[in-house]
Amino acid sequence: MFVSFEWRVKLPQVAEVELWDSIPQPNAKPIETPSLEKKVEPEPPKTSKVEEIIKSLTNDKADISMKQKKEEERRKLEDQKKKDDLKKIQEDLLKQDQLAKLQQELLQEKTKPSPQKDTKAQEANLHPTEGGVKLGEIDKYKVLIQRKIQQNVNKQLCGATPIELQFEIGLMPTGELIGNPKMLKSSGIAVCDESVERAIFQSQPLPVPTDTDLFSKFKNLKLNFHPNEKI
Amino acid sequence: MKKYNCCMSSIFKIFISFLLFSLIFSNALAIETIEISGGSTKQINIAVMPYKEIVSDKTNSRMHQIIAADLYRSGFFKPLDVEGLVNKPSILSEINYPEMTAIEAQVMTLGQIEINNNRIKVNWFLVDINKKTILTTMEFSGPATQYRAIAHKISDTIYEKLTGIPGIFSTKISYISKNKGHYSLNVADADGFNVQSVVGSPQPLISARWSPDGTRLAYVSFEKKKPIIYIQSLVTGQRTILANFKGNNSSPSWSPDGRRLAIVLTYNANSQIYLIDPDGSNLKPLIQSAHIDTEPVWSPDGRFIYFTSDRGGRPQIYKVSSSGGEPQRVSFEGGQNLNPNISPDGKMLTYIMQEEGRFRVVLHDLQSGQITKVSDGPFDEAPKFSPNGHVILYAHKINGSGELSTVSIDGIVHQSFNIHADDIREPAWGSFVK
Repeated sequence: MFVSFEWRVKLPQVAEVELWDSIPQPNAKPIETPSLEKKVEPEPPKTSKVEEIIKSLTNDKADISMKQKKEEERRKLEDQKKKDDLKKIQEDLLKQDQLAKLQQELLQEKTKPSPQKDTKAQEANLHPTEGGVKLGEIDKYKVLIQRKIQQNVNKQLCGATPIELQFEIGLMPTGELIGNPKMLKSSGIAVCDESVERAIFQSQPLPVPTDTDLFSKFKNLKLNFHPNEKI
Repeated sequence: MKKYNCCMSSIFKIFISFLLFSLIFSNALAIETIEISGGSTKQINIAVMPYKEIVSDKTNSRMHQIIAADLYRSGFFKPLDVEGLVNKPSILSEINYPEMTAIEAQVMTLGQIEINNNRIKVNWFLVDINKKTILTTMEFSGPATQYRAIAHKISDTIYEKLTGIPGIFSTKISYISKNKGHYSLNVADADGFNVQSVVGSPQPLISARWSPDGTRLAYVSFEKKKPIIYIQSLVTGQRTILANFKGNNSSPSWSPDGRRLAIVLTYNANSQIYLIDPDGSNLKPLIQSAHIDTEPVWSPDGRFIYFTSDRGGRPQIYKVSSSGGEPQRVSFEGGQNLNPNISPDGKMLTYIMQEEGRFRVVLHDLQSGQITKVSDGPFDEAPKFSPNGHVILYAHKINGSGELSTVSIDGIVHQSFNIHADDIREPAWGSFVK
């Protein structure tokens, strides 16, 4: 999966180089077919948006100045809503004395016959949807997962300089891991890699949505770790 | 050209179809990414199972208790309570992984001990519970008297395997005790056991310091009614006088290469720092001032000497080049600062800060200048870094008697040694055993 992702990103560049001078123009065109690019487009902004949100959540100096022009107003409004929702989630988390209580809530949610009866049903209605999936809900669970794992990362074993690790995990609907985490990027420090891997194991079960559609987004996850970055 | 076109177009078809395929494939399996910044000081949950004594089989093995206590003291580990477990594996095939997961063990160690004809042999394993893999398997053996030493060696191996840092459990410490008016310079294991007296005296003993190779101790004795510095071999017990000059001779500190010592003399006036060879020759003043300069300690690279001085009014930490020159003040916070010691990597100082009537151990990051208090006082003294720099040993008073304690440098794990005397002072930590 990862390989194919890489391919998609890199191919256009490779194509540009490989078309050389000698190749007639007609052959070059298909590569730049708008249809392809259109297909490529929607995905990256989506992830980058989410990343922005997560970053703004973790960044003290969150961008508050979001007043912009009419064309982008919709987007911005949506973003703002998402941010507000996430802020609410975060505030909730803080108010509710950490993860434990929230997890209890989630467990309760799980036992309920329909998630619609959630106390935050009104909030949920406000969430923008994409492909029938509530973005706010996705972000909520991402924050929960991020928090649970982060608590278990012993950064003392990861030196003092900025480093990055990446793992990919498969999850069962119970939040348990399928197999071992797969390390995609090493920190270069063996005990740090192992420590982060242990943190992932220790965080089981991870808080995942009970809703099948929502869960499909959590079946496979990429986890990017920056142990020496301040939260 | 046609051929070329033809060829190119077929390549192109493959190329495009591959592109499309990969696109569809990746879209279908677009993976959510979660960013996780920062972390905690979460300890590693370790199940230290009782090592089964398969030959002697008389009493419960103590080895796992020694190992668990070592690992706990380091600050990196949380040994789990395994006494209540029904299943106590001592070989790999006996491990019940779900049971281990249930007590949240991340790693476990188990093993078997054979004691025969005063020889001990320990076969042991370190196992990753999550991945069900063996991390380490070893056999240690020796005279049966080495029971604790073997336990410490296992602790060292586990510690280094999981932290990447050399363990300090096989190292030695020294301290000075006073009981009923009798002074004793003692050497003990890093967990405070196996105490042996190196020298005893009805007169005060102070300022013991290990040579870098761990074979000698330099110390000050008042046995001749004035402070004289001796060097004593721990191998032969033989001792020599390092400094017996006019006035007081005190505060020896070995250079990292063991070829020089910094000492403090009141030879001409106030306490002043001098350098001297271990055989007592080649005496040279390091700095001369009208103030009290004392407690010298060498930086690990040998380039600087940190010391305590009252040149600013109250005692503070200063540093000066080991070839002399103008001292620079290092400590600025607190009412007074004394008893400096430097970490093996030269990046941190630990010393006693007196503030609001309490004497507490602080850590001073020499790069950032950040100061962290790691003990509560009120009467702590003489902090020393462990040879790996991750634990600090210090003396303190509790209920009127002396005690030794360690604290992990993150300030999280405090542990007191089971050593008690009317007074306990000036602990020092020997270097790694080679």
